[in-house]
Amino acid sequence: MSTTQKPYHFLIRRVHSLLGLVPIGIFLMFHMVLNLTALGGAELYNRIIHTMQSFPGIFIIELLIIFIPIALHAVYGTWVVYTGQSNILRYKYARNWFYIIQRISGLYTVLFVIIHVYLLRFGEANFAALQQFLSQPLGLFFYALGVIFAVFSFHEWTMGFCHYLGFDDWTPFSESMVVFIGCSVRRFIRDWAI
Amino acid sequence: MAEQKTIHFKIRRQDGPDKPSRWEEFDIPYREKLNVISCLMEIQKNPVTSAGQKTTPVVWECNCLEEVCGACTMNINGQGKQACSALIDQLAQPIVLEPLTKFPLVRDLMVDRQIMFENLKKVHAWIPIDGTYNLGSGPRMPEVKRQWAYELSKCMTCGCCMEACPQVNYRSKFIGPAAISQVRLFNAHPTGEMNKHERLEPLLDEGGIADCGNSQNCVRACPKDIPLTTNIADLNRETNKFALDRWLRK
Repeated sequence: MSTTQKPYHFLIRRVHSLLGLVPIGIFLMFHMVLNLTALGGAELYNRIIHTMQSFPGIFIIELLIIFIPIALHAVYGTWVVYTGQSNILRYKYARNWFYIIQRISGLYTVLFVIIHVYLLRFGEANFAALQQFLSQPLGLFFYALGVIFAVFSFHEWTMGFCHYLGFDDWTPFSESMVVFIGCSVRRFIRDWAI
Repeated sequence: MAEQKTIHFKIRRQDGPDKPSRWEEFDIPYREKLNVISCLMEIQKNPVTSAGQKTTPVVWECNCLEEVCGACTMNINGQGKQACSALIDQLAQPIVLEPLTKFPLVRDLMVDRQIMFENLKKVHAWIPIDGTYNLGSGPRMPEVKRQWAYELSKCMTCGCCMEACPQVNYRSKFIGPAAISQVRLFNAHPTGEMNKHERLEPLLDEGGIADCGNSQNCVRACPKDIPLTTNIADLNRETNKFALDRWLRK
């Protein structure tokens, strides 16, 4: 069969989608699990942060596994958001709400991640600093929303992914993913709130 | 009947593609079992607005009047529907009629849905059976499969799915759910399957299947209850396999 067209468009879209899981989604889950160490108190939490930050070659890992994929995903994702045009006012279906919330959550997460990284990766990251930030209602709201939206964006990914594999709509797999992530998020938020 | 009941219409009018649009209201005497088309015919007979002003008859398209041609598709109370099967007794009033927004406007409620046909051509939504010699009879199609495929063949390219799809708009080149669904129909046919690649290939292009945003409005908007999202999901799998296979074998 002859091919005269360029299949890059398909490739770019699929890679963009896949980046949502590998590595971003996996990193997100890893991050959430690490957050749970806050349950063990300030000392444990600070020690974990210190261990992570003094990891040999952490900069390369952060650059290749976290920064570049997130940057690509964010830039192309923003373009994808631009090519859509919501019609939620005329078609008030639940799935249509998910569609628009996914786009809002994606954009918000970009903003959130930038501020989050600026404050904690390049700023001072420890239990006390976070506690102080989250004790302000606005800070807590900003963080809670950031986490919920980041996870929602990932949840939409699981749904989309099932669709890409040829499964229509919700599957037990995507649902169990959501429940799993949802539980860790709830714990995370509760812990920080305290 | 003690009081004269009326049907109240609010119609978006526009004299041509580049002309400004305006709203006009009409009142039609109530009769039982009217549909939107018969009301538009009443307006055509007596084009006078509710305010008593004489105006031009509203322009619309229709053909079969039994919801199989798709020509009379318009936005009725905000959603794409066929005017012929939109029964007055089931609609909330005032009944708001607007042209479809995803297609170039011709006049009033009439739009040019040529793009849908172009998209069908793009994905080769037909089965080539012509040869320079007699090709003989094709393979048999199992009856169960035929019955299933018949449901997909009910698509009348009306444009309801395009209207409901947030990914179909002037900023995107997305060909829409209808054309994608037709790929599944023709690829399911034993003879059509022989040219499967010709239909999968264009789906990889810009505006192809990867542009689907998974809002799943199409399947709910489809007047023919075609399982559009199931078809898109299936073709996601097929195009993935096709693209991967082509890449690895190059």
